[in-house]
Amino acid sequence: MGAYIVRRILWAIPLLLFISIVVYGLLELSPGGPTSMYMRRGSGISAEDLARVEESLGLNDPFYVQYARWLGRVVQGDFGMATTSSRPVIDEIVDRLPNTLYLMGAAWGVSLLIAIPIGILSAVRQYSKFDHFVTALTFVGQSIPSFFLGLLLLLIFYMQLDNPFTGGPLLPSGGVKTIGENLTGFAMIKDRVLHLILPVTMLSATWVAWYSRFLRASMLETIHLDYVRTGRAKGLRERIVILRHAFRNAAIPLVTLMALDLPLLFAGALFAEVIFSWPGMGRLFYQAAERRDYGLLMAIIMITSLLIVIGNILADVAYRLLDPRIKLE
Amino acid sequence: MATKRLNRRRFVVTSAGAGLVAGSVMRPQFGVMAQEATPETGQTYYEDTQGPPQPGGTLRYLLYEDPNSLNPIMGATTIALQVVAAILEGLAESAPDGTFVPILAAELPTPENGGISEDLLTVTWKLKEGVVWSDGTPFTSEDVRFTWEAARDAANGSTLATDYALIIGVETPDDLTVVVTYSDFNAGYVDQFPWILPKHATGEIADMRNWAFNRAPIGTGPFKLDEWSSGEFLQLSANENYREENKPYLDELLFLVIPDESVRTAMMIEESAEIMLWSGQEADEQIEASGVGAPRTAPGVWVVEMRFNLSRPFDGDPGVDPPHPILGDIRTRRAITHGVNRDRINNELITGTVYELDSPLQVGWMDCQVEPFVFDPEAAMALLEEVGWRDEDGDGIREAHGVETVEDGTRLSLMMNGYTGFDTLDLIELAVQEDLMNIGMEIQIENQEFAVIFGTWEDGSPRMLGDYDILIYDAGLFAEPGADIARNYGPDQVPGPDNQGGENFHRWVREDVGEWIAAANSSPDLEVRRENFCKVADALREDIVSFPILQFSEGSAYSNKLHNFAVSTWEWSTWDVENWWLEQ
Amino acid sequence: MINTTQSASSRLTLDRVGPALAPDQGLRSKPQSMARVYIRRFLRHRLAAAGLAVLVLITLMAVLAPLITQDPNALSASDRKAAPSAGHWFGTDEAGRDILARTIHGGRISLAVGIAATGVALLIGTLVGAVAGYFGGLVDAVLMRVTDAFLCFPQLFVLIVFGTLMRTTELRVLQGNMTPIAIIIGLLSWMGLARIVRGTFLSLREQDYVEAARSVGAGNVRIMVRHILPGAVGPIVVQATLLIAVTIITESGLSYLGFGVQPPTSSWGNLLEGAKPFLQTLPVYAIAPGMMIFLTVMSINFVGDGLRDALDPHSRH
Repeated sequence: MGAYIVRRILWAIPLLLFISIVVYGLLELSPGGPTSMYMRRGSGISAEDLARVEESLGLNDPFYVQYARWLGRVVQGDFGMATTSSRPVIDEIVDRLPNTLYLMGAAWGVSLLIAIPIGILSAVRQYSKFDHFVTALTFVGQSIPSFFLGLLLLLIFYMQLDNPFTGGPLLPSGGVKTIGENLTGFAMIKDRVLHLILPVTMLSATWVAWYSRFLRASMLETIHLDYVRTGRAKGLRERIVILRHAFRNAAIPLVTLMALDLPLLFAGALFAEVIFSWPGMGRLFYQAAERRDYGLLMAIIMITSLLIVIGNILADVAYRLLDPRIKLE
Repeated sequence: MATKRLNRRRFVVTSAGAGLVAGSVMRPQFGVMAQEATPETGQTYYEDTQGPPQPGGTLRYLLYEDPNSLNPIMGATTIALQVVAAILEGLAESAPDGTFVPILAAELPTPENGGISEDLLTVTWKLKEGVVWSDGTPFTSEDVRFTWEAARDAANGSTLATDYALIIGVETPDDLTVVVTYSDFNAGYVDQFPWILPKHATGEIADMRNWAFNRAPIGTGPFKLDEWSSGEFLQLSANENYREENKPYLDELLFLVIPDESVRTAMMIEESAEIMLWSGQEADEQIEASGVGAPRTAPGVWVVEMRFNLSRPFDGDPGVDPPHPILGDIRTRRAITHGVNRDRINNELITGTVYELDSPLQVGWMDCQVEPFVFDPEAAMALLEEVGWRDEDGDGIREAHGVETVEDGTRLSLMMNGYTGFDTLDLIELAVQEDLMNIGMEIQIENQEFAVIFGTWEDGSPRMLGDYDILIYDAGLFAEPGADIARNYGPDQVPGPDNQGGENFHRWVREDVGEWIAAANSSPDLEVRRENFCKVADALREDIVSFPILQFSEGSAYSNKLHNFAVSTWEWSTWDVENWWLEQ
Repeated sequence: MINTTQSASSRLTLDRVGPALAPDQGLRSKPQSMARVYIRRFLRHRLAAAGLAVLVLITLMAVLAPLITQDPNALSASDRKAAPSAGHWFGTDEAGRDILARTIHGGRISLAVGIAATGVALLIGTLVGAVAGYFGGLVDAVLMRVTDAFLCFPQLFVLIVFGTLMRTTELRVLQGNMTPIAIIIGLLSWMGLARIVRGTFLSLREQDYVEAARSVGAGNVRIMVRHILPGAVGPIVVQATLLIAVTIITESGLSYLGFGVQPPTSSWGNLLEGAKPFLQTLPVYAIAPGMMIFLTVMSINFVGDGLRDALDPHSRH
């Protein structure tokens, strides 16, 4: 097992290098660059000054020189300065990543809390009315584009519905908290929760659909396995059989699925962050792309890729450890 | 046309309530002369002078993205400069009427007060006494000198080096005197120092990209930065060391970063914010309808033009010859100007305030009046017939029948490039396309990324290489337009391998135009400059090098509770933030 | 990839139930009768039949758009932001353009991009999967490592970077500005297909009839195309169908963010983006394209589900 993990980690290095070369190459190929944001309306900066700044930033060097310079710095843990914010890239990410993790964690928790009971129930009552209803709902959840759902939520809960007590909007339009008010204690928690409701709903809709559908399928598989039947035959109570035996086994692939999906959740979060003014990493990336902040773009892509690779390794290891049907290499 | 022309002069904001007045733009005092105002150029801007001020309160100001840096000499974006203008100040700034007023300077240098030498090459600034930075350190002439040293240094990140290229030295005989020596006359000398940086609170110039100042500036302005939470907000509070007694009136200035336009609009309507920067047409309508606020505007500097390529595109030659096969004939260009119904675009399709104009030089203090363009589809079609463009196959698009420069049967089809992400421009393009279709000309719209359209020679930008038929976008001339006019229309400014900074994209070469530009840019006499620039304007009109469609207004949506502010064409929205006050 | 879990879940499911997905051998022996069986099985799946009907309708509307709608670009200054009426069923936008017409025309682009992207993915995925599965060994190991590498790309992020590149280079002029988007999306969507095809090829290449073909001297390409590929058609069709839904959502999401199809060419995604300022005053403007994406994707998911049941009854629950 140890050797396997080491091998996977060693393999991750060329993989990350490959990704970095491809993405860096893509950035390099596109015209404009970190200085193109200065060309926006009204900055009044002359072409000569732009050219000089580009020269001084080394943007006119050949691709491999720039890449090597970038790699050399990154290996030492230096992601450089973000041109979009005049501060170290790493500071920018450290500022934003917790917000993204906070949102994703909340959405993830809510999704699981809803998906697990739904998945179990619809598997246990296969082909019941409940099962059909859930199946229909999961199709809706899978098919509705998250950004469209986000806009609908905004339209209904911020723009249309009013809070009957204050007359203001029912739910806040976005952000992590109310800015400019120093709330404490219960008021602060309430404020935070209110701000979470819309983005979490938007994200969970899709995730609940996927997780419950997946759990239902794997529950159905395990329910018919021998040892579950044995447990049942031994006269164990149905609830115990389902939860102790069937669910525990069905949950293994679900955990793996979630580990593999981690990076894709980041993508989903990007939309939520843009629509709900959430100061997270996805929105940082979006802004960096708009303004061609190469350093920031590369750093976010590399960090996300690293998370994907780690997620993959963890998923494989967990799978191999937990599932008796797969023999260790 | 006549009514539209009046429109342009009309007070453009229907103001409600007491104390709102229309200021009238006089000719800015640029250069040494220019004391007399010309009353007929009464463009207007919005101003609210209601008082007395109620001190206190927090103003919430909506931005759509984070500032990139709060260091204005290092390529701060226009978003960033809205924040910077509340924190930093310059020696002088433009008032909304276009005149210059001293800020950190005690007075503007003029020949009368000895501020300008007879050879026009030495400018002496006297600074205000007793000004301190927000951390309490006195402001001195050393700071001005330091600003010049930092700003001229492109290698360390300054994006304004060109503006300082003419300065050969800055001396500081005492704490309150700055002597600037130029190598050549700089017509824009009054605007030389729009920002002053604190020497003591920045760092080594060589290390400019890493200054803490870039994220946490210290200034002499009415506000100081308390906290900047990336992607969320910038919190500013009143600078207690501000030089004016009892100002600013506001306690706090809170810039909120809200990317989604519909959310920003809704926040204004819900009164969760007081200013929405550059609110679009739709936001303006909604906010005004809700009764909590309204768009407040001033004439903008941005002029949308259809820019014709006079040289053959895609021939691997960025130079002037040979002429464009279709647009090379002035009759075809004239037909386009007759074919597009600008009145419909400006008055019906665009509901916000815009102004019709016939020359890109019909702005600011130049205000060059040229022969108006006339909408006349019949004349347009007659011109096209005359050149040899007729529709014989009945598909609605004309083909060449005896046009000298193209093969017979060539369709009258042109590519028009704009940039992406600007809805109003999309709308204008579609209207132009529809109008020209009616005279039998096909326009293919292809919008490109900002960075492509405005890219450099090395990027292979189409306008640099001369690989386009028609460009359509908005560009602006600022208060001092001399350098831009020279770059845009000078006969020696056609971009090419040897002149990668040239911006004569039209490839319009006239030696007399070059002489007029040189004459205008070497004189301190505003009348002389104006006269020569207007000759350029007449030549542009005569040769139909471009077809101006409209001039935008500049402005944002403001809450009705905000008072004592003016919207300026020339300065950032927070230029007078020390005067603002909020109804509690 | 935006509808996040699809690729990962299919990955996992397929890894585990791979052999169960092996195609019905009967397909080759009795094509006529088997086809009838598949159709019957598919239609028995009521939701799939309904999905197919909706899909056919949407596709027909898109194809016939120029005939059945008003000019989507016709401006009408007197008719700006009009409420729904007999003349404009969905009302008009800020320039007086008919929203229904724009939505239907947007569908042409969105569907075309979805199908084209899936085509690209199908081509690459089938090729990579077939070669890897057929040859096995080192070739397989290398190709699967490449597939893994592509699965590790943070796809939306890379698409955004790709999008900025595509809208700025010569590739843009290939055709309008939708071809590059389709290619990009396809380039990042083929991995699931490759894995499925590989699995099928791995299991089929040892079959007797393949050995028989080999023994009579058939070339590798011939064996792969003529003998093994038909056996993999079922799972490929199912996966490709579901992939269309994913690519449509991907395109809309990318265009919604401003990195996909650029106006004035309209797609559902950039229509939704353009409708944002009007969310409160003209909700139908945003709801029309949004609902079209939703309906199309749901129909495709139903059809995909039905196809899975029809072509691949073992995996049914």
